[in-house]
Amino acid sequence: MTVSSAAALDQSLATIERRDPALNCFTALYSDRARTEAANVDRRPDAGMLAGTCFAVKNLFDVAGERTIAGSIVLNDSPPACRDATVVERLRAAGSVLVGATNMDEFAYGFSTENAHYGPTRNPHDPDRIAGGSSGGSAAAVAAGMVPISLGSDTNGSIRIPASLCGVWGLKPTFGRLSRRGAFPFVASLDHVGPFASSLRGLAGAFDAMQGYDSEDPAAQAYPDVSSMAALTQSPKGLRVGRLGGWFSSIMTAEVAAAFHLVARAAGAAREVELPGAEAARSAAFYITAAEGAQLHLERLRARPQDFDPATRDRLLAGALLPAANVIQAHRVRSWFQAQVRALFSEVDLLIAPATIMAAPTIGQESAEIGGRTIHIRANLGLYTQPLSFAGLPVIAAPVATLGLPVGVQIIAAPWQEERAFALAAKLERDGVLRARIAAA
Amino acid sequence: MTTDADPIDERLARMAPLAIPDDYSRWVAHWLDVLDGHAKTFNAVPLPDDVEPAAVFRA
Repeated sequence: MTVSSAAALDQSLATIERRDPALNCFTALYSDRARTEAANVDRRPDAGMLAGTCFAVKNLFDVAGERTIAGSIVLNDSPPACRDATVVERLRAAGSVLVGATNMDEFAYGFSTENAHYGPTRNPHDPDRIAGGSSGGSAAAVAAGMVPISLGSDTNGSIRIPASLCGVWGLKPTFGRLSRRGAFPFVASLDHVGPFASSLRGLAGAFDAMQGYDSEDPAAQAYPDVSSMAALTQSPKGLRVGRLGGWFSSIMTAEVAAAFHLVARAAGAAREVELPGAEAARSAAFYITAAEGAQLHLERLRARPQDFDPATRDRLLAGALLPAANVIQAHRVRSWFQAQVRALFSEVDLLIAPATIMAAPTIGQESAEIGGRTIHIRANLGLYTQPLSFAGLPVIAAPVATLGLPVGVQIIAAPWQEERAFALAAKLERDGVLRARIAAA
Repeated sequence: MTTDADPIDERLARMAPLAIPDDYSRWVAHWLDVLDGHAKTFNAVPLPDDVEPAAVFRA
């Protein structure tokens, strides 16, 4: 029997009330309007494929009547949004009820959600540890059982990293697949939006509900929608699966390596392949991020530098001073790298790679010893995610069914082939290799 | 034309999109070093002249 939206909302709000004071996932709750909306959904004759669910959004998504703050205080005096973001509209149309907005790294520039203004979001599996970022509040809200679905954005890894560290499912679709209209931008040429979920079925349902060309997003492409829900019942047999080596095996903890090899074996990824230029791609993504992010915030950096999180501000100020010739070269490297990716996908259909170099570090931890080397954590949490978003590839961040702290892997498909990643993920979930972990209170 | 009285670094300083407050300069310099390292990495890719920048623009 399907649970009513009102009952699902009551449970969601009760869990948030009980757990959020310790975890700090939410920056705003919309309880009253959510109750009205849940009642409306319950009265609808065709309630929608997501009826009986609730969702939360990273606080960079427009919600009509609310301020979009993008993890900052600089936008606190901006007017409320007039319309919901396109993806918010579509989840609501499918019957899901919006309960609130979640914490993030300021302006999405970070991988830890240790926000100087709103405090750190804590990992539900160990509150002394980070949730990952920049969509950390959205991932942690799902991992704590507050909501079954949430939305995030991913420019360099900001869905995949928190999904991995919190032990939930995440999807960064193909660049241009989901509309970004109404999502506060960070780096227009790299920004993606996508869902988190507590089940693969929930991830597929949310993704399917949000698809569809939107002429109001300049990067959107009118590519045919896929049915990821249907893909869950399709066999991945016959798909050629490779495991990424080279750059993607350069450094990781023993627990990440064990989880990665467990999944690679179960996926039949006997062949190790390399993605040429991955290191250069990551560096070019780093550079473009600083330059485009700085350009976006230039007037605010001039007028109110003291109101930025210092960790964000100093990188953006540096980004404002970069030579144009290098920025353009970075975009040329992107074109070249895309050709390398295309060539690799003529040999394989899917790729497996680690999502992060380590499980969640503690809050405030700056470095870690991995493989006898001292690694700066903030700079390297995106080591394995950045080259893939730079190429615009669709990636499922999949939680590995291991003991200890959560660890995720990336299941990577060729552009516009999300359904293949869903088919393999579903098989591995059925086999007990992948499983989301909801942290007990 | 560059002269001794108006050296090129002064011109570059005038062209900079914003001034960096002294309080922030240490960390901004650190990040410029990090970004310069990344530029060296991607500039080492030998690209043919006909590789065009990736762009969202479509006519």
